[in-house]
Order: sequence, then structure tokens, then C-alpha cells
Amino acid sequence: MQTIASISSWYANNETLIQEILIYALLAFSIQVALRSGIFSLAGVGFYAIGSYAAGLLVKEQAWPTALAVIAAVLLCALLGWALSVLLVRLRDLYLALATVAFDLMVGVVALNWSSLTGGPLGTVGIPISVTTLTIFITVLGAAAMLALMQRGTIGRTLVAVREDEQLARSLSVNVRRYRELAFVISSMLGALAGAYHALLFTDIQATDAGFELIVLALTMVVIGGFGSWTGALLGAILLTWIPIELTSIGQWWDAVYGAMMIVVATFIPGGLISLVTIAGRASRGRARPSLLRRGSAAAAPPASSSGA
Amino acid sequence: MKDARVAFGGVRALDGVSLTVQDGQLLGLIGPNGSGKSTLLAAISRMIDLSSGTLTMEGRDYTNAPAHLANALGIARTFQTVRLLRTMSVLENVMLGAQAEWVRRGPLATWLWLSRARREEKRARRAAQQALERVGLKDLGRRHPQELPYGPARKVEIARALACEPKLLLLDEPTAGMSQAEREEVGILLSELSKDGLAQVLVEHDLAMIQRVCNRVVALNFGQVIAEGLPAQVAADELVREAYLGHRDAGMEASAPMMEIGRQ
Repeated sequence: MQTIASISSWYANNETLIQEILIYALLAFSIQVALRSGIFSLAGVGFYAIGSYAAGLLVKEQAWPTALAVIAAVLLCALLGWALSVLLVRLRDLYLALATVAFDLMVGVVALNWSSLTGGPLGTVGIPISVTTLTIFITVLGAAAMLALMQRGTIGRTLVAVREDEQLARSLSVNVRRYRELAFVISSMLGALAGAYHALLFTDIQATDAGFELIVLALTMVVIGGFGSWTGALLGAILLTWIPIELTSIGQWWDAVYGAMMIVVATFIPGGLISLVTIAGRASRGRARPSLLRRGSAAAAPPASSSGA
Repeated sequence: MKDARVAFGGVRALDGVSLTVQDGQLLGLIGPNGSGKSTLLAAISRMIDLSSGTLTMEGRDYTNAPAHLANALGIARTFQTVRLLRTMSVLENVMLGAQAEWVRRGPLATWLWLSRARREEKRARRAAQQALERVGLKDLGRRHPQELPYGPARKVEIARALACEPKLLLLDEPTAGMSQAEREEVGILLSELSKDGLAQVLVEHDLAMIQRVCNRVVALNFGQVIAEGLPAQVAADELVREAYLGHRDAGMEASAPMMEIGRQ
């Protein structure tokens, strides 16, 4: 009896942390699914903001049922994400990253100034709490399953080809544009989900929530965890939500710690921390290839992409 | 391909080239560096746009079709440099070719149609293994491309193109950098494919190889066809000899090796 009591008391003490991890996991998925497909898009954060306002306002002002409001927010962002992908179809790499960061910041500016809808600088407050941890947990599971499918088999190989060599992919019947659009739309929807759940769980939205800091945080999670697989994004979300709470004494030095972690991981473990797990797993099965650690970032994707096993 | 022209800025990379390849024909494409051979392959495979002229495949005009549809029409190609994906095994690289038909269904089908996906995965794996066996690399499937020497890596590229089950295969210097023995193996493979009815265009600098395997040869220079016919005829052609040995463009020949390295 005592164990059960201690587990439930641990859960009660840490429920907020778990909720935050789950929500950040969805946001990290949003960035990871794009990066893995070779799309350096950070638009997921902008859709996080749009999703949070859409779901929050539909529930608070229009009294929509939660499920419907979340679905509406996600579909809205899917549509906007598709439109954005068409607009940005010619952009690649850093140019795309910059354009999508600009999009995120524009969303923030609109949220700040469209006071009649968003409450402007005062934010949207008093949204009824309308989701449970269990709902979010199930959503994360579902999203992870979809992403796992997207990494395997034909579509997994195809997306790697789209990322590594677009021209080659085209020569092998891949309609590169369609695959990029898919990744972009999925990324938008995941960002929207994260935002919607955040609004419906923590009851208020500030225009500054989805600012530059959130962009950096989401990208840091994915880089540190590993962009090659959804498991890396999940690991990053867990670490970067949990560690700051354990080490509150560091306080405002956090940005420096993020920066240092980014540099260390990007330089020495380009596949992210999750690639260490994969390497360890391989080694224990006697197929060690420690050279994975040393290879350049082009080959950084951990072997989740090679679905051979 | 009829009266094809391609211009990069002021340079006429292809200047009115007409070309037809029949089933089972192995067409050799020769010419000095910069004469338009790779541009010609890029045009046929729709990697670049023609400024004028038309492309037809089995009577169907595909001059303006996107590149992935050229593959759907049955055109597969290899590239001048090794373009294998390092994060995948050799077999998976070849599966990229074997899965081409399924990929045409689009991203949603390949993502969500699970029952079909499982069947396709098995089929693609088998087809890729057969393609590897065809090029003589049956045991290398589990290796990674960066572990392979240059010669076998280039053969994997041929296997990947063959796994698409093409009707027309475009080969851009497939044997460059290979050992003599490997060249001969590839020569034999191409002859066999030709006997099986596959149409092929082979870009090659090794004239001995061209003479051995091709049943027709086209020589290009400055984006124009300067000779066409049986291998022996073309090799004896005065214009071709001039273009290769370089009376007019001796300077170009001298700079040729550097261009080659630049492309690698």
C-alpha cells in the first residue's frame, strides 16, 4: 500500500512537470518531423501560438466542446501550414529557417496588436481547464506512432532521399514537392496541438508565449535529443523540461547552459543524445559502429532512418 | 528527342540535337568535356528544361513533364558522381529504385496504407536484392555505401537504376575510376541488358569500351552532333578525331582534367 501511496504522491507533486513534458514533446515533434525531412522550418512555434489562440478562444468565447475546438485549431493550422509551404516552396536551409522564424515573430506581433481578439498585451485569460493529462498522453502516443510510421519503409527512405539529395529523389519518381508539403503540414498540425493543449490546460495565453525563446528552446530540444527520430525529440523534451526544474539554482544562467549544451552535442554527437542509445544498443548486439560518432553532420541521422532491422 | 536546345546564359549547351534510341539499342555518346553529353542526359531525364525542341517517350510528349514523371515513363539514370545515401544500407539504397512505382502513389498512400506497405516492402526488398545480384554484388546489401570501394559503389548506382525496371537507362560515365576488370564486367552487363531489350544511352570517355559494347555512337561537340553511326565509322570520322585530339580546342583539352576533378 505504501508504494502505491508514494507513487501517487510523486505523481501529484510532478503532474505539472509531466504535462509540460508532454506538451513540449508535441512541439519538439513538430520541429523534428520537418528537420528529418530536410526542411529547416521553425514555423511549428508560430502554429503553436495560432493553435493556442484558436482552441483557447473557441472554448472560452464560443463554448465549443474541447475535442471540436482542438480539431478546428489543428485543421486551421494544417491549412495555413500548407499555404505557407506553397509560399516558401523555393526556400531551403538557412533561408527557410529565417523565413519561418520571421513567420513566428509575425504571429507574435499580430497576437500582440489584435487586442479585440487576443486581448493584446493582457493576453487571453480565464480559459476553462478542459483537457486531462491522460488525453495529452494519448495524443503524444498517437503522434509518436504516426511519426514512427513516417520513418519506416518506403516513406522513411523517401524522406531521407528528399533530405539528402532532391535531384536523385526526383530521378526515382519522388514528387519532392508533395513530400515536403506533407512534412510541413504535419509539422504545423503538431505545433498547433501543442499550443491548443497548453492553452486548455494552463488557462491563459500571452502574446509573448511563442516568442524567440520558445523557438530556441524547441530547436535545442531537437538538436540535443537528436533530429533523426521522434525518440530524440521526446528525449530532448524530457531533458530540457526536467533539468531546469531540478537545477533552479542556476537561475538566469540557463541560456548559457543551453548554448553550451548545443555546442557540445552539435560538435561531438551530431546525431543527438539518442544516437548514443542507438549505438549502445548496436554494440550490445555486436554490430558496433562507433564511427557514427565521428562522421560529419550530413550523416548525422541516427539509424532510425535505416529501417533494416 | 527532337531538335533539342538548351542554353545556360549565352552558352548553347545543346544546339539542335535530335536523337532516337530504340529498344535494345545501346547508344554510345562521346565528345570532349563540355561538349554537352551530361546536359543531354539531364535534358532527357528532365533535370533541366529545354529552351526549345521536344522529348517523346514511346510516342508520348513529355517535354514539360516534371522529372519524377520522366522516371514514371520508364527513364532511369545514373549520375556522373557517386550519389548513394550514406545513412542507409546498400540494399536500402537500391530499394529506393525498387520502390519507385509505389512511391508514385504519393506520400499519404505510402505513409498510411499499411497493408499494402507491408507487401510493397517485401517486394521492393526482393527486387533490390535481384538488382544487386544482376550487377554482381549479391553479398554487399547489408554494408553501408561509405564502406564500399569506388568501383562497387558505382555498380550499386547501376543496380538502383535497374531496380526501377526502366525502359530507357541513361548512364553517365558509369565506369570512370573503375579498374580494367570492373570495366569489362560492366561492359558485359550492359551488353546483356541490351540483348534483353533495354534501350540505353552510355556516356563514356573510354573509346575502347564504346567500340566493344555499343551498337550505335553519337559524337557531340559544342552542343551539336558532329558524327553518328556505327562505332567504327564514328571513331574514324575526321571531325571526331579533330575534336578529341584537339586542333581547334587544344586549350580546352588541357583544362579537361581539372574540370573532371571539380565535378567530383
